[in-house]
Amino acid sequence: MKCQRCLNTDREFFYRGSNGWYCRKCISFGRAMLEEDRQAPAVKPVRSGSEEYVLQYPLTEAQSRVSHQCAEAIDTTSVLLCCVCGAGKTELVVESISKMLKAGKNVCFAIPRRQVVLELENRLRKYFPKAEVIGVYGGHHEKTDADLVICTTHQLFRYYRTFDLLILDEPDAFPFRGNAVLHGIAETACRGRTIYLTATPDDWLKEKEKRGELICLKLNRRPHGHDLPVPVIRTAPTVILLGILLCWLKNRSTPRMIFVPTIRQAHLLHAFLSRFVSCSVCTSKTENRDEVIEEFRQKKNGIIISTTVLERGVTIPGSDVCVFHAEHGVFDEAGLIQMAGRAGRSFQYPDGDVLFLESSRSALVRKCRKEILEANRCVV
Amino acid sequence: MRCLMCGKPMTKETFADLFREEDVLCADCRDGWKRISRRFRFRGRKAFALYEYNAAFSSCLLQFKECGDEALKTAFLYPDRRLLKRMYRGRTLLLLPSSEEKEKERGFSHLRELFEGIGLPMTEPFLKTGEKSQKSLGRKERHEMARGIILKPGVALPRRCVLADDVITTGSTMKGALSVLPEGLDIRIFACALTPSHTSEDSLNA
Repeated sequence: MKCQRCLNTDREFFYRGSNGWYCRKCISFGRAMLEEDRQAPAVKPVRSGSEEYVLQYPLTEAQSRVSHQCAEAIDTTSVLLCCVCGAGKTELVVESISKMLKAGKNVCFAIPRRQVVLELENRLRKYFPKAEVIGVYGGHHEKTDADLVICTTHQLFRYYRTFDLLILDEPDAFPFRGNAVLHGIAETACRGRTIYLTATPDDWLKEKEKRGELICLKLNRRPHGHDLPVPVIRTAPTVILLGILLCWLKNRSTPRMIFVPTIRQAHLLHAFLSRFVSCSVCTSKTENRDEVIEEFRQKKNGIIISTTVLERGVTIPGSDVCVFHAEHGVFDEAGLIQMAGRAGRSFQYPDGDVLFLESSRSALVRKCRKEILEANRCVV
Repeated sequence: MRCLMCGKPMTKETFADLFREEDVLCADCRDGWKRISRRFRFRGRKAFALYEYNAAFSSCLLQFKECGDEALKTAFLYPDRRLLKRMYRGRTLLLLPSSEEKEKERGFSHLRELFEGIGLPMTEPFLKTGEKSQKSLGRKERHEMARGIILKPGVALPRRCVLADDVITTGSTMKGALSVLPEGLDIRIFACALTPSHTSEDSLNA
């Protein structure tokens, strides 16, 4: 037995109800009966002209090389674009998207996080002015068919074997990472090739590459050509860490992001720092998250305390980054690299400042630093 | 054996687990349910509810009813099946109706599945009516229609019965059902869960 939607084959998750067998693994997406054949939803043909694109900045030499390679490779195989944070991954696939749209193929851009869907929708709308671009995410799915669909990985369950090109952004991010149901749904939504975009491929992707199911294209340079900011590590008791943090926050002319491991710590740190500087807090429980981020974006030297919700996909030009209690168990290597990658993303301020504060020596933090140094060293 | 909600395998690991009642949900999932075991009066009738209608309960009920996950039918009453059988010995469960449309979509009667495990006789004497057929009904029936519930014509009602539903939220379905039942029946009321707003007794007696 195999679920047609999530590709589950574990017999324990199938249940025989009064209407027949169904899969319980992906039941939260509605009941998928085993005997019924799933039909691909009807989609409109892609409008001609929608493949025309304009980029806000011309691609650098290195970028356009990778972009060409990618657009060529998707004819024959799936692609893993392994690029450092801030290398302009979205821009790298624009050429491939355009090529597919021109051939009248259906393209989808899927991201694990809802937050990023909104941002990306606006960006791609600018890049493809003639195409109909829609965002599909929880609470916003009245319309699900367009020339270019941007959706969360959860919403992919609506598209059975629909897309000729599926672009999976940050497939190593929560909640997609290690989630068998979402992996299955992504696989069944796509009938053609897949492009994976990430700075930190997880074991599942590395495994796929080893098996030869995809080819890996690397880009270890940001468009401004500067090295990635290398994190400075400070190990001290928490009280002293707070002191270091305060010194770091003084005399700032750039926005600063402080990452903390838990929501509780975010609020505690906010209570402490508010005595000295004005700062805002952003966690998964923050209701007006979009507003808080927008406000932070407007300010020239704002401070935001955040949990890992802002770890990926958010670009605040010219910001510096501090990770507080970097040794905490919730941070994994990929997360640390991503957070460090928030810094130094603008042309005006290409060398960001990254500070890792830990209260005990952590091998993971050092490994992360090594990875970043490695990426800086072997620029292709 | 896996937990029906989270799918984690269940084992008797700790000493305390040995004394737990046999269950189809794991301890973590079950702990989210707030057990109240409340005995109260609903319109003067003896009524009983097992749980508070909270987030964990409602997500389980949603998965069961709206997603049509029939496997969850035991999650609600399995641990209390003996208690309920003892409590309502000699009575017949009268299951409250759900709209025909929903039931068709679901493909099964969710209340029947839910109460099946107790081992008491069950009937479904009610009909939930749509608004279309109102014109064909007489005055008295139309009054009953205000609640959206009528008795199936010619249904035989047992003298001792229990009105059974999954959740009492506003209580209006229950009131509607009570109002169409003839006088002189020995009626009890049972719901798996009760919304927290019904903690004051007056709201239910009114």
